[in-house]
Amino acid sequence: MSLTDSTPATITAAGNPTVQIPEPPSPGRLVHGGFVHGILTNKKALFGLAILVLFALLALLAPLLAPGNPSDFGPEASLAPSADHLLGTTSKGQDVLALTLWGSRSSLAVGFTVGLAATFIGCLVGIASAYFGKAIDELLSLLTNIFLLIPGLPLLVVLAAFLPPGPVTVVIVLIITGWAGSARVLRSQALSLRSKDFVASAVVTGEKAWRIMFREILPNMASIVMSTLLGCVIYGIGAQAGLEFLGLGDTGSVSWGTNLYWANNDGALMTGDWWVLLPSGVAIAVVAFALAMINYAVDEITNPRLRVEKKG
Amino acid sequence: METLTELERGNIGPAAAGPVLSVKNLQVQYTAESGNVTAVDGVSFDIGAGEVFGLAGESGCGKSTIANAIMRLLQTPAKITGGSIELAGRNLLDLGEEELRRTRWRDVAMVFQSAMNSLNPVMTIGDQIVDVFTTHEKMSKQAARERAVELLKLVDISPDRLKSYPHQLSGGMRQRAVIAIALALKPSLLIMDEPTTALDVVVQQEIMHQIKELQQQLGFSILFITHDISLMVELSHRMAVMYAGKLVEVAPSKTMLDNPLHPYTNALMGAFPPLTGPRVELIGIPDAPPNMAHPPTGCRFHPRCPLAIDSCRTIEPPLLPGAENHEAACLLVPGYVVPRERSRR
Amino acid sequence: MVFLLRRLGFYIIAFWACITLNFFLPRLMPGDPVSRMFSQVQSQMRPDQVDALRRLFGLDDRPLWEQYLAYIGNIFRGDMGISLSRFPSPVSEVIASQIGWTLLLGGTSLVIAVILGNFLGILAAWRRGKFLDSVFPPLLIFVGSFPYFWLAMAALYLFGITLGWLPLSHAFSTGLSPSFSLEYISDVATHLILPALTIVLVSIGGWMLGMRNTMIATTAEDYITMARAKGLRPARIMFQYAARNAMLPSVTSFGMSLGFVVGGALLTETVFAYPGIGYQLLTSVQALDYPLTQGIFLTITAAVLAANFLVDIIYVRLDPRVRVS
Repeated sequence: MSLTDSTPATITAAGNPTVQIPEPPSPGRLVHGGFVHGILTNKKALFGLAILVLFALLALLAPLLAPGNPSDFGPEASLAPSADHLLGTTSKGQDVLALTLWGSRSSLAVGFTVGLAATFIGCLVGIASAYFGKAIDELLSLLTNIFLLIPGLPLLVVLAAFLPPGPVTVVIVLIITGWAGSARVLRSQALSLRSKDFVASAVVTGEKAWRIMFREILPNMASIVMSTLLGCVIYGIGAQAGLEFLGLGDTGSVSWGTNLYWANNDGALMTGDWWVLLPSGVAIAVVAFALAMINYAVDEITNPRLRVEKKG
Repeated sequence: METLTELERGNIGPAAAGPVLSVKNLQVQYTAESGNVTAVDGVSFDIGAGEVFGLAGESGCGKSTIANAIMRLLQTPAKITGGSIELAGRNLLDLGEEELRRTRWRDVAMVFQSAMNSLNPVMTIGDQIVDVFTTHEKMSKQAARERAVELLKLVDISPDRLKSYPHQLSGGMRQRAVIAIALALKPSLLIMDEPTTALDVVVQQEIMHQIKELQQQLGFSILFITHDISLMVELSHRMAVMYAGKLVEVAPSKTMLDNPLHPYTNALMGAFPPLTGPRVELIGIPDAPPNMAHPPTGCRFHPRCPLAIDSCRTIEPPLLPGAENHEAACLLVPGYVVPRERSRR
Repeated sequence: MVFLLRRLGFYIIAFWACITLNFFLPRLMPGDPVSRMFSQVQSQMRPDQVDALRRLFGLDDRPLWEQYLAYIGNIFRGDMGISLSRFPSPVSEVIASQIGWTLLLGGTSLVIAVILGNFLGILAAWRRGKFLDSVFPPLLIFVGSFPYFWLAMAALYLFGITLGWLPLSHAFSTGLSPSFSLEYISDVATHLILPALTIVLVSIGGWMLGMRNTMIATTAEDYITMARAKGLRPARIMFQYAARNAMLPSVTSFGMSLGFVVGGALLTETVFAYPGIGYQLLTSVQALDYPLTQGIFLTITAAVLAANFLVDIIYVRLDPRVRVS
């Protein structure tokens, strides 16, 4: 057993880990209805969901709200925010609002893709590791721990440097560096479920391995999986932004990260064009924060000890 | 066994005037989103000096809650909502935080159920004993360590275990260590909450034996809480049986064993058949314990009681005197006449 | 100690995995990795020089496994090749010249963030529901939601450009030569403030929240109840009983998070043009100086692994249950 099992890590947008204790959140007892009710009455969750929905809508409607190609150079460069250009223009005359709206498409898409894929792989590895135990567990745990240990951003940089540039590379590279965190958390949780009686009885009645893993164990981990998913999405959005900012991603595309890359490259900071830098950064933060709030809420709902007691 | 010093004998003597512990109408509630649950509903009992008082009942009947209430260790959502707890004449519920902290462990100490969980895993046993001394008495660490050694010897643990960590001790040793810590300040009352439940039967007997010896030697009172009546009968002078948040019978142990007055007590006795003697049928109690959020009307035991009569559904009997020193909360207690229903006008 | 030996073995395997990755990556690239690597330098060199370089980098006609073993051998001898962008300095020399800055920046930020963050976490847990607990964690999480580099830029803009209080870039003012003089040290310190502050701000939320949650779980343990029952003073319970145990998961996660700190330092260095190896890594990629890129990657990884091993040693000291008696 690796000592590093004792604390899983979820990741905030800046690639910074928040430490969480692997409290088994009494999953069996939480009926789905109760959980949904919990989410809907929790202020943090509602706040987070509202923001996510808003951004998703903006992303989908970007072609309508800001028609045309936002990357096209324009005639009026480096304008401060005004009635014509609500968020001003870049040094190349591009409308910042349009760039931000269009940028959300790539950032959210990549973020969610990476999040889903990383969580999926994490589930596979984590549950299989917990279920099969022994040699398979040793091997998979070794693999997981190696990927957890190797510093993420440098690995990201190195991979991106050698692989052909483009959106696919970005996604692949992010998944490679992002799956291990979820695998470890999920393995922890699956292990505690593995020892429960209902799994033992399923094994004894001869249920097939994959059925036990995905019909018995997985549903009982639903809230942790969701929590992991949120963490992975946060990671995806943040890491993509970081990669793009360094110029190692797909510089031709429009995303919040590339917006900031070009802003930095064009010296927006030095010329005082703060409006070019503000929106994309704030957008990343707000979305990440919303996801973190939902995560916080999911934790509170499933682990009563973390709830703040109501006064009176 | 070490001969006792004068100091250690301090607790033995003529019975102090008045009971050591006097619980009156204690009420404890748990607040839940769906409503409040009264886990302990108007419980009263006294424990005299040097007396071992057993409190028995099923899991969830409220006995541990009482223990925690006396020590004032209850945390939200549990809350003491009524009654008083007098320790040597002082109402514990009136004490402020700091006063309470200073009273704790001096006058009343507690032995928790799982010794493994109640010991700090990263501190040595010795340090955890010394802790108590350096906090409550103006003692140097050296002096405290010497006292710690004496305590360990008292419970038959070798002094070189001072430097051991909890995980390095066997289950029985840990429990004895916890008992030693509890006795450090020579409290007049020791609360023991299921002290042997986590141990195997052989070790259980050792610990029970140890407790008995210590009690006779040092003369402290014990509130002994367990669900295992057979254990309790061995040790206690008097016993109380608890059901659904209320006391249903209080009597000297032998009397309760030989002549239980309450049907629930009777059923409990039947649930522990003796290993020797003629074969006795094991009788269980039908159905399940009541939902404490909505307890049954009248006598709380009546749905499961083989002797229930009509009045049991409407009248909730208090503890009624059935014999000398023997009370039971049952309408069928000999000498009690069921009041006729008042006619409607 | 079996535990430590296992961990050491694990780190060695992890390092080996990185070396292998390093070896195969350039060979996975489409096209001829050699020409790509040398594309910048080739035009300035004669063919026989190019051939010598190839042999130097192990990109010659020897069979793959021979190249692989030679590569591993070189790494363990500290030979990570020759930097292309700073030809002919060896990679190890180039790295050594700048690693100090990263250690300064990363080290300072880490120490501050960890100590302050954990302390705030303990306080927040102890005073659950009160101001510190309900305002700070969400606030710090919000601040931590901003990408490192964005906060760095914001800080740069606010304090460097608008207010002009602090220097804009680099580790020390141009023209000053390194020495142990007060002038130099205070100059370095002023240049360090913004980048370090950025890293601290972003990472502190994680430490605080982590410690808070662990403390909450710990304070629910039975031995805390017993400590209260013993009438121990609240401060003693908080530190000697609760925090001392809650620290343990924190220590393990500290090891894990070192990798992230490195990443954060990398991005911050980029924004502030702080001449550490993070900045160097980026410029090497831009310059297509693959040996340097790989060398920095290996160095960073080795450092993280070594630090983790150190953390393991500390953990063994802290948790008696891990020691084999």
